[in-house]
Amino acid sequence: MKRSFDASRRRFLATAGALSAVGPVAAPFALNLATIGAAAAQSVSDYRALVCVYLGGANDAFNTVLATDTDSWNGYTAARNVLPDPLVLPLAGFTDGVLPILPATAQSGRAFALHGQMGDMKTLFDARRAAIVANVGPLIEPTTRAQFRARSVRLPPKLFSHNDQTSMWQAFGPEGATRGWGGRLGDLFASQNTNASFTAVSASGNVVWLSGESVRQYQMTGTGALPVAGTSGALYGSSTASGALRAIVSDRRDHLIMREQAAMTDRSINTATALNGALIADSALPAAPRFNDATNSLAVQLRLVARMIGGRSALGAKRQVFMVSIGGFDTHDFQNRDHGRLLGRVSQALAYFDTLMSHSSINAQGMVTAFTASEFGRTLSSNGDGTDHGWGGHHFVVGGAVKGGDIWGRFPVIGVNGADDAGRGSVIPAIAVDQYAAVLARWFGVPNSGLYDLFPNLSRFGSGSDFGLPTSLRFMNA
Amino acid sequence: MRISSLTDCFRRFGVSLSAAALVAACGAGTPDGAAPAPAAAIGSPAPVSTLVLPAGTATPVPDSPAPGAAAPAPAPAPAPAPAPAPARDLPADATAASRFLGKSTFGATQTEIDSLMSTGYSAWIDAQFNKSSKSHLTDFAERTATLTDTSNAIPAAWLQQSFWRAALTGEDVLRQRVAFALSQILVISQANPDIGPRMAAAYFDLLTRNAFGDFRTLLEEVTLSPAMGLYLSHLGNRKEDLATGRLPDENYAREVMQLFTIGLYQLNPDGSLKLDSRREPIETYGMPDIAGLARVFTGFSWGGPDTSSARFVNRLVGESTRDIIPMQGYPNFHEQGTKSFLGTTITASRPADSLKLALDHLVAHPNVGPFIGKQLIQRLVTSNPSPAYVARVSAAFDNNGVGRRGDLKAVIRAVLLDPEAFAAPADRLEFDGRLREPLLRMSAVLRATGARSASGQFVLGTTDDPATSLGQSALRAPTVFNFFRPSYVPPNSALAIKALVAPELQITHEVSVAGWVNTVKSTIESGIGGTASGFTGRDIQPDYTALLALANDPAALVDRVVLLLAPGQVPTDLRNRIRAEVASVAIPLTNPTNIATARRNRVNLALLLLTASPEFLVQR
Repeated sequence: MKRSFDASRRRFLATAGALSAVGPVAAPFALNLATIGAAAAQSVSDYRALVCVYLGGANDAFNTVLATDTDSWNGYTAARNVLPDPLVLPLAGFTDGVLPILPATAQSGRAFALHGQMGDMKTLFDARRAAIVANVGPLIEPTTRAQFRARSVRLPPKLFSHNDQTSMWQAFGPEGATRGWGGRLGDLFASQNTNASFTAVSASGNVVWLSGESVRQYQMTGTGALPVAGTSGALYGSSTASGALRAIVSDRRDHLIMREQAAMTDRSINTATALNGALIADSALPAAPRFNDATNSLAVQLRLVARMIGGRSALGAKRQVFMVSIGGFDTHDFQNRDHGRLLGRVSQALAYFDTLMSHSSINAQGMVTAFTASEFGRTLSSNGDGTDHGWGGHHFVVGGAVKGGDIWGRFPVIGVNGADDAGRGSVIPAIAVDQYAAVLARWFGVPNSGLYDLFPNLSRFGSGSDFGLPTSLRFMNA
Repeated sequence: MRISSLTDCFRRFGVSLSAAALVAACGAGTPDGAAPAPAAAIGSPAPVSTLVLPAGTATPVPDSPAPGAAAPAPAPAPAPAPAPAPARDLPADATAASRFLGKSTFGATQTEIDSLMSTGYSAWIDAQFNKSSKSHLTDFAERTATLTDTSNAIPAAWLQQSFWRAALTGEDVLRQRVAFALSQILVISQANPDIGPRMAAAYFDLLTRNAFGDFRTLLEEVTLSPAMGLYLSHLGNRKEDLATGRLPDENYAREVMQLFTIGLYQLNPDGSLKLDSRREPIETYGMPDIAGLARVFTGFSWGGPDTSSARFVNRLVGESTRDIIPMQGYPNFHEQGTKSFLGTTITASRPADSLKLALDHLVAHPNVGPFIGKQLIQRLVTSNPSPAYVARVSAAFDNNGVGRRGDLKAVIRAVLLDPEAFAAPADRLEFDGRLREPLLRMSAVLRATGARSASGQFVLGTTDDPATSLGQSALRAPTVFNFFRPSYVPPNSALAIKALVAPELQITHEVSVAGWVNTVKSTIESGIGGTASGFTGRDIQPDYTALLALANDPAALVDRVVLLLAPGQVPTDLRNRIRAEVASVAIPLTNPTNIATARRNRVNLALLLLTASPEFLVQR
């Protein structure tokens, strides 16, 4: 609650107040925001979209991207070669062995590989369409093991708690935060879109990441928007009842919960036609791939996002933020059984999405960047057949504008009680979520001057010209 | 909670107070926000409010005076004297009775309204405490007995079907509703494929069995259930191994504190946060507490005739009953060293002994009353109870009147019979009540229309899809954090500005709102569910006999559905509008087929316009 957007919001309010004082009449707050956004964006001409791929439950990053040099591997096996069900992955060359990758930028003495189920991701990486950002997580300020143990720096609240760290990743405050950085990006750019309703779009339920000051998230499912039956034409033999139904479900109410229900219904009805008219035809795209003969729900969600991106001209959309997600990563148990097939789905779905972006009916290669997020990494240490709640984790960024084929950020020391261990094998992040997000936001079009407002902790990771984003972290092309 | 004026405060508490008492009740800035509990028992003579309300607050819908709207006298929150048995607490009218049943059951029916009106609230609750239940496992067993081929596993849909059977036909209406509420606090989920239908049924049964029992016992049964053991992964959890560095799984230790007992922050009895000298919330536990408690939850695995290592480790395949009997302790796998958390140190070496001490310590924490009590209020009555309401429920948790802590009967009484739950229309707040969640909407519609299963099997499987179904299925929350969070604040809303929560709005979105109208419309027209073998049409069908009999009289028809589905919640203009639309369906004079069609259309229309309305969707 303390380290949320409150501070930056105050700055925003101050700016908005200053702007409105210039005009003859104080405009509503939302308009002021749009003014700032327009000024910041200087009327964009191209299309760009960010797609957050959320790995719910906290992905075990240390069985996702592996350091395979001898020291690292020894630390890894020492932590994870634990009965009854050792979590150590087979080395390259063995059945289901890890898949070596060669980052463009060497890290001294280190060698790397991906989980054996991530062949599609390796292909993307090798083709330089995917990058890895190492050891990202919520931080308030730079934090070392000694500082963590001495509690001599400010730490994120409620570390290791699912719902709170989910909120920290998405909104820089524990559960209860109401504005996420995807939604704030939407606030800045909604005025660039003909229909602001489609600025922040979720294909996977209600997420704080997409909630802005003025932007509300729009939810799609299955085939797109869902019309409300009975709101036009004759209804049960009455020519007037459908109009009454339309009014009853959506007229403004005084009661505050009813008001939200009615407003949501009104929005649903008003946007359905526009959206379904704009989505590119279902038949235009190849079907979502199945994974091990089962539906890959992440691919299905990404396909819907792709259909909307394909309809960007019809929608008049210039800037969009999307959320898709896949759950099941909370592998306290049965990690060997479950984790590989989860990573396989993620890998397959992202590769499929990448091909869709260059599909002839979409043609958005270079305009769309997908990135992973997850509430925390898991512990390097094992509980015998799974892992517990950790902190930092590695993430993937995929798309034509990504400086791919590389690992960005220093890969942590792999080993319990190593230099990056906060205890029990929870690895202290080296890159703050603020930094990871800010690199993406800059690519999206946020000027440097807006970064500190959007990312409340960023200024503590650098100053002056680099805005907390040293060149070594700038994993996006301009 | 921000209370902006004494008038707001008055309206918030819904009671008649002298000016002095009002100031006292609303605290006028008392630092801890402690609120008074009413000394008056439900059913005491209820003086009519004499305070003049602001213009425009009176609703034109007649409603009963609240039976609980008696003047409360300030009293300390903890351990009130046991309330004297109410002499008389009959509902003022059918509307009042139906309103109460909306909170305490899966939906009002004429039968329950009649029962409640003849017995009174308190006696009705007592009678419900003693109703017998048919367990889900019994339902499974009866169905299995009729199968000719028993080689296949029990289908996952059976649990959903048994849920609907119990919700729609059980006489233990209060118990079923409370068990459902508990299933959203002590969450397991069949969304995890390891939780099979029998395991989930056994879990639902234990919630149902303990719904009127003792919280400590409930928590122990939950902890030892194999469903929870698999869901939060303490089944098969092992003690620390210094040689390999293996640590106990911390999953259950964390969630049992965060979600099942005490929550993240220290609470006052009224549910407000305790603050430290810097005005910051005080955390209830830290990482060392989780690590310490995790050591307690080691050495538990499948129940069975021995505690061999083979039984402990054999995690997914086993004998026929181990999925439905409690887990047992395996001393060889239980942490033998000290287990320290929340200021206590457990040195027991047997799993059961450690567990008992740990759960005793957790349930003794002063947070449990406000933490669990407030959530039960939110599940049954209102999303935003006043601090005083929470304090009264906390007090009932702390002491049931005869000195016992954690008596859920006392808690349920306190939740359902609180004056705030009976606020008269003129005293209602602009944010009172709660959005009905999708399952409770559908159950209300089906109960109000006397729906029955043609096959007797309630062939309605998962209803997860918000576009084509309800967007919610019993015991299928996406995570242990339930379908929605108790503290969810809808962004960009007037609720947010007033710092109010609306948990069920977390699963309300563009698709779900359309999905509800479409699903209820389809249900009204054709019933709901699949077609049972040997039958035609959807298995669960409304019985419109009573409503069709009123179809020639639009006013009576609409009043009837309002009474059952939205009692006292529909303002006159909306009621008149629905009546007018119903009347716009002309009933022909001669052709019997056309007459029947028109009558049915009127019934359909009355039901659809009401059940699609926010006035139905928000239960007040």
